[in-house]
Amino acid sequence: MHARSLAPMDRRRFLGLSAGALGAAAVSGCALSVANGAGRDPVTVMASDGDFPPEMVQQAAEELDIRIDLVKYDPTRLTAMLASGQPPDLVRGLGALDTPYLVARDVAEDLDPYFAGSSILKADDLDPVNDLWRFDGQRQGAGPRYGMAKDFSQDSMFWYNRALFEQAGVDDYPPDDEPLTYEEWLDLGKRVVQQDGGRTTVYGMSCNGLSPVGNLMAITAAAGGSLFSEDLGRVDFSTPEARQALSWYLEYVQARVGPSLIDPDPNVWDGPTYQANRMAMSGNGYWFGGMVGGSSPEIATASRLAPAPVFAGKPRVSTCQAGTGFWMPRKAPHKDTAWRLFEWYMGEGPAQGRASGGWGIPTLKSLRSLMPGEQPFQEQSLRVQNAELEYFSVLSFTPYVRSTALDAVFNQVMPAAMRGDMSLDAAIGRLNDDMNHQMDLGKELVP
Amino acid sequence: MTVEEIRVASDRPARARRASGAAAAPRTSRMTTKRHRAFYMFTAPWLVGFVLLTAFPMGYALWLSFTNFDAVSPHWHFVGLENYREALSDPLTRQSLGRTLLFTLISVPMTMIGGLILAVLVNRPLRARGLFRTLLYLPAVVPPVGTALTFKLVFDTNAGAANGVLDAFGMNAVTWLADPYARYVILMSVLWALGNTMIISLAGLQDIPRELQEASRIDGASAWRSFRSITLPLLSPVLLFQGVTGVIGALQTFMPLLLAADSSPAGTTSVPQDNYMYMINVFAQYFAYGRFGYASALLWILFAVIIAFTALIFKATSGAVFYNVDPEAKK
Amino acid sequence: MKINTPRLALYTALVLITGLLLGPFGWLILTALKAPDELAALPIRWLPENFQWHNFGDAWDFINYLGYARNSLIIATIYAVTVTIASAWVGFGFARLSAPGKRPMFGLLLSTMMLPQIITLIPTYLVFARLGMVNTYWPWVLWGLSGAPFLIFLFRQFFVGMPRELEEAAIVDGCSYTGIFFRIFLPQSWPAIAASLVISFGWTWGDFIAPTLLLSQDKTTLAVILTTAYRDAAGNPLNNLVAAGAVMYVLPPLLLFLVAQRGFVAGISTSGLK
Repeated sequence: MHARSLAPMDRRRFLGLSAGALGAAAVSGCALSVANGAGRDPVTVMASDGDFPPEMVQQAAEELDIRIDLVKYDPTRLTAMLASGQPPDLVRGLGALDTPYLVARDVAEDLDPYFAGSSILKADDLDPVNDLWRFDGQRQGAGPRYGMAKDFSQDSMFWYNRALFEQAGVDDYPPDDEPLTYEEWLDLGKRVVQQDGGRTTVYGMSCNGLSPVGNLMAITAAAGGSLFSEDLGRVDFSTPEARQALSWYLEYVQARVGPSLIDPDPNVWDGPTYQANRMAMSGNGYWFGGMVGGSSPEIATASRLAPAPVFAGKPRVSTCQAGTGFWMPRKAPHKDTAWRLFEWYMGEGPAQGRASGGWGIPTLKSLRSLMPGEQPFQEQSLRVQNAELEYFSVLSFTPYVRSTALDAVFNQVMPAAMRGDMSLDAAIGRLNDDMNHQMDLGKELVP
Repeated sequence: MTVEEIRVASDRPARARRASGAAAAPRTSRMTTKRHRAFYMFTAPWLVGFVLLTAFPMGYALWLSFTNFDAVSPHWHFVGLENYREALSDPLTRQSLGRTLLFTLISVPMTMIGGLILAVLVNRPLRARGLFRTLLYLPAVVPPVGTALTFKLVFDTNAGAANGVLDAFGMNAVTWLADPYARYVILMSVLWALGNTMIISLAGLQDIPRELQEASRIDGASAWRSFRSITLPLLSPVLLFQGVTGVIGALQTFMPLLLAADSSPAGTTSVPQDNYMYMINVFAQYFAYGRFGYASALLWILFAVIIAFTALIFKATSGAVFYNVDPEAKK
Repeated sequence: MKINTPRLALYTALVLITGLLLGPFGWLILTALKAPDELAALPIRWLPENFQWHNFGDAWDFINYLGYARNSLIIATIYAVTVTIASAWVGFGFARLSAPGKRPMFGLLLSTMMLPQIITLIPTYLVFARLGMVNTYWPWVLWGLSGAPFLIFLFRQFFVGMPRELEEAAIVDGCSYTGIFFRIFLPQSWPAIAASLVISFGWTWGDFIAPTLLLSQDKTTLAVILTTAYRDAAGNPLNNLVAAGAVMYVLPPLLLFLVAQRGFVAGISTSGLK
């Protein structure tokens, strides 16, 4: 009976059915090792939630015939995977902070040969921001490419919500073409903050960057200096520029106009708070516009982008603190398939989708034309952003420690200084001692 | 079916005594060999598991603790006792250990005494005491993540009940999950699971023959006196057990990290400073600082501290109680 | 029973404490029933205007709740069953048999009970990773098969209390120890088995760190996913869904406890090291 009912099924129908079943398995992201159609290896990608939405995973299966096994981006997992010699094929990373560390420890694959053979990611089409993913052993920005940014922003710029200015009765908005000084910015923050019964109902501003140390690196650069010594071997907060940056940041924290270590925002980052109409100015770059666009129409209409602040008498500098993108571990098991996915993600459909969504500036010059400009806030932010590009600069991070180690020191030392229990000088001394101790330990691990 | 059924357990010691008393039957040596072999066969799964899943990883951690391994660089090497030397002088480690010890000294007695008081209350003849016992115990069944999520919602600055209460009394709202309040939230979340110590103390209380207490009351002793001179000494093994497990649990507190609900390196290093406990530091050293060698040394130090504490407790209460390792060996 | 003042005080105290301890549950449920704008409202809205029962359905659909619940269930069941059988097996050995080396072995068992699991977890992770067992459920099987010191002790205490006559009669009948264990001791130890199942199920259902380290996102457990998943596209925490998800997560252990209360309490009190 069963045999007979199977008999009429011809070979073509059978193949069709099994292909369908296999396809379904691939699409559902089922982690069993079911081989897919062409027998391509599945690519393990370690990414954050929004990087590879389910539709994109499905698209990759359909268009490229590549199955993606997603592993949630988690530095803890990554470290352990690297330690055990079984890394993912592609890993999310912050070009600005991760590149020197990874390269100095021989864990990142040199992608130059792949770039050389690519018709999609061509050298003359790559935006300069991708230089964050280059390291020659001495400095960032030169040498082989170890990864590529998926999009970028100049992260010291800030967004503001005109409606909240109006609520506070303030009408001098930050100008589009001239940067504010850091002091002016903080004053403005104090004027637009709203407090009620122990709660900050509307934060005046936020200035926390993408990581504590990245933030201080950027402010120090604006003050005309650098946190790291020339050879990237020491941290020094006692230079006049670093000191100026740190003392301004402390002033910001102590003014209690925005989130900080001692006034944490329960939302962890600015996005939700800004969307809830509870933040007048948010220190985030162009990419934040993607989120602004996804907010309620009132917030989108009221939002504007302003140039990165400066220090009086110092040149305009506007850095990128992240350059978030992907890199390939040297021990990745499926490099060639992973590169195909990389190309597609960085230069084809997904890249075009990101560019037109306003989530950051595309990292291929040829995609610039896709940046959105229909809504007034999009038109304004695009104009301000384009003018800002002239001041773009790449800062070098140290190869000796992972950025989270320096962030950890910062998080440990600074709360006391923020509460006023420790003087600025004492804080500088401890930051230098503790960070340089970590650097010294790291030097022993780098040839 | 309620907690009332505790008595199921309480008549067991009597049977145990009977059982060990009957252990004197003569045996042939063949039977002895058979018994020996059977013993090894029965205990083998645990022993093999212990060697592979406990001793080996511990040994691996010990070995790592003498290196500067960072899990990424191939250029690591041995550093001798350097990690241990650094740990003893590192203010971060010392402070986190100090905080953890303080937390232990507060939370363990707090839950023991609280649990004992509750146990005494619900051990009295009450209406609906089964219901009371069950309800009081319920929070102890909630998994740590459930507790963390619940407390985050209760102590949320904007939408939490705690600030709602402050509002109702016309007081200013408080950022509960930051210093200096975060430590109280942790203590409260520990107190929430008071049912754990209550249920164990209750089991102990029910093992105490009622006649003893009644006799002392008839002799004219006050309730407090009879509690002190009869109940408490008889309860000491149970309290000792709670003390030891409580200290071990408290020393490895991980709750602050769960409250931060963020196992990323940023999550470990940005917990409020008052809650930066020893295990949080270990996690941070492993994954934020990337110092696998140093963090492994910290684990071994914690291990030593735990052994020392346990020994100390047993020593301080020596004579009070210990249990019988081998019921047959006694005879 | 006459109600007098001290009795009244006792009842009042008990009701107060019970209310205080149940308060967080109440808040969790209220939060789960609120609309998003009620969560954002200042001053705080204590009661939802309309009960948003659909939040539970939304929390269910927002993440693949069923899938993660199934993962949690599979892991917890695998572990609970294997660890209970293994612990009973080993516990029998320690209770009814002896051989040279028993004393130090028992001492070792007791001291591993004191050993913080978390200490071995990270090194164990590295070992499992080298064996290719990351992102599989094998670690839970292995952990289960080797028994848990606490449960071994629980079973040992239970078996020690059973009359020796049982065993001796069986030996005279030519029954092997394996037979004695499976045919005589195990069937009589249901309170300990129930306690062990409930306790070990609860451990795994509640565990956060092991699945965080060992499992990738699609294979991980509810405990892990609940802490991060309920956010909208912009990363806004959706607290009403978090609460709804947490209610559904906490419910199974609570129900299991209520159903298995007798065995559970018996087990707990046995473990009081008497």
